[in-house]
Amino acid sequence: MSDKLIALFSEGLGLPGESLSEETSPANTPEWDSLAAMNLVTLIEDTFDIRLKTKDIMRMQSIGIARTVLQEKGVDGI
Amino acid sequence: MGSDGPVIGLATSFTADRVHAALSERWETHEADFNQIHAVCLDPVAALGAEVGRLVLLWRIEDVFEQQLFDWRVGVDGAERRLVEAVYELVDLAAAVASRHGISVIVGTPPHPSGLGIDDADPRWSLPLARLVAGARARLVDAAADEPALSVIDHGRLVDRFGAERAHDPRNQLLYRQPYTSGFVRNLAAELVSAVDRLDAPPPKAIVVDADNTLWGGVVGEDGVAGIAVGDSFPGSAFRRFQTVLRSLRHDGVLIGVASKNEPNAVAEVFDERAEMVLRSEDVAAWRVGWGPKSESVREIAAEFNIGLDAIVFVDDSPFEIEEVRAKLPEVRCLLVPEDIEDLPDLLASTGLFRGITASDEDRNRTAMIQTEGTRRAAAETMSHDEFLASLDLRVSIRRDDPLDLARVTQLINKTNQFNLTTVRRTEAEVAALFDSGDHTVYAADVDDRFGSYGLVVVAIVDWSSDVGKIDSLLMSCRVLRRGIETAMLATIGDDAARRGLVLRGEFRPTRKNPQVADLYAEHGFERVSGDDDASRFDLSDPSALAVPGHIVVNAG
Repeated sequence: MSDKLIALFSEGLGLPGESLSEETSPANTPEWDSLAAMNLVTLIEDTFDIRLKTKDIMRMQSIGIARTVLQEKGVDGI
Repeated sequence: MGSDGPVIGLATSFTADRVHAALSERWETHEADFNQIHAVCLDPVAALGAEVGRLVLLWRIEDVFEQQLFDWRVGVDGAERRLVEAVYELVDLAAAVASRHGISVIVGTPPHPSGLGIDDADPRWSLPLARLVAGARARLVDAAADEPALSVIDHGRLVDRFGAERAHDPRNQLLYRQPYTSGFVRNLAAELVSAVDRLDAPPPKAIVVDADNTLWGGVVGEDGVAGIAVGDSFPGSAFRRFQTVLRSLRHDGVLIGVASKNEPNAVAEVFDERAEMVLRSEDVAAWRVGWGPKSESVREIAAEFNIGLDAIVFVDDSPFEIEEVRAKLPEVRCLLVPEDIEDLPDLLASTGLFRGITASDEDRNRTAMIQTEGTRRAAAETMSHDEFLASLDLRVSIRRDDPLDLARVTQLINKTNQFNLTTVRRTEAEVAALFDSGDHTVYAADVDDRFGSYGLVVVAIVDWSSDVGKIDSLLMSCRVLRRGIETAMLATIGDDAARRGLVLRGEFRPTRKNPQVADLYAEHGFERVSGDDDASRFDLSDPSALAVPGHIVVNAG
């Protein structure tokens, strides 16, 4: 059963889901550059029908933290 | 990603990654450096590659002319006039690319500037800006009327139609220099794809329409001439509006055919007896009223009009008929009358199929050009690249080892990737040490031209400690590419080397991002003296031979 968030990051980064983890971040993943970041924001907003503020985006420095932020925003199944 | 047709070059003044992606699904698309509209217009081949066969330019006044807008807003003398001049000049330049370079160009109109904290409702700014935007649009449209390879996408109007508030996203603008919401970006991308498609697809020459429930509400064979709905009240009003659209298409030169499954006289009776009809018999150039298959009627009408099937748009309210025609005549473009009949009047406009059909010379109304001064600069059309560079009034100010530059120099050293010869990264402390070192010179250059001030955009570090003057670092912001500024910097370094009696040595270290500068030293007369996979070295034995380009004024202290 695939994790929704990992699947989303897999699509946004163009990397296989198996290569991603909660620790995946711009610091350890060259594919996560500013262009990818912009696309990830759009993917997240469209998939979960939410709106991220700038401070949310600035916090999301890893998949794990992104998960926390989305949970805080009440996204189901994350 | 199959390549279908010429390669597309995309140049935008804002981050347009999603637009690029949408175009790339259909055609091979190259993207120019960010906000380099002037450079792309001057030299599209250098900016996008020789394979580019068509160019798409989307630009916003607030991106390209940010400084001039600001100057005007804060009351700098003469700023409004300079802003208007600069905008019209760019329009002329963009319009001239098609004829000068022999490629198709789609240029966007500039949207009404937004998102600068300027109050859109304040007439002191909204009215002059509206006039400027309207003037730019009119100028572009007029240029397109004269140049078949130039077409216009009304980017500004798309924003208005979507709703300026819904379209803009200050968060995306501030974070990514992408001014729009994802909703508007999707809309813009779709419109662009459609505009490029219109370059390839033959413009429809004829529209063949069904009669019952397409030209009027109801079935004349059942409801009778008096019982069908066409008139001022709903739903007859929707059909009347649709007929108005057909009349205007006819005026634009589109042929109209009627293909209806009816008794031969029934349709003619409606045209003759219902005064509310907007479409008249004389507007219809061909009739096929009978009981045979629609595809046969369409085929016969095409033959009668002497046009190809791919030049026909077919409109019918019956999914069965649409499918029948589509199956037998795949080149015909088929449109189903919308289920919600209030959407019928907008049907043709919403497909964009008839957008951009040029009326004949006699019919065409020249848009009145709104200008604040003089006539269009014909000079921009015939100006050579060199002449245009000369008109830029480029000024480069070069400082050596000025500690006030430390922060910005360090920033450039660490973030410049493309125009960077050796990509040596240094911390601020390390750069500061080089400023202090007697054996090194850190050069920092500010650039200004007629369009604005770019700030500190070139850095070079030269090491004088050995028997050659070694250019340890040479890097430039992509904002000032293709203006010869690197040559001005090299000439200044060359003078310093000549004064010390030293040969000048440059090094190129290839990375994934800097192939554009692989030949920089060779282009400046340096000789390649050694190299391996990691680095190539180039020597210039007579550094005084380097000269500042004629169109640049250098202040090198």
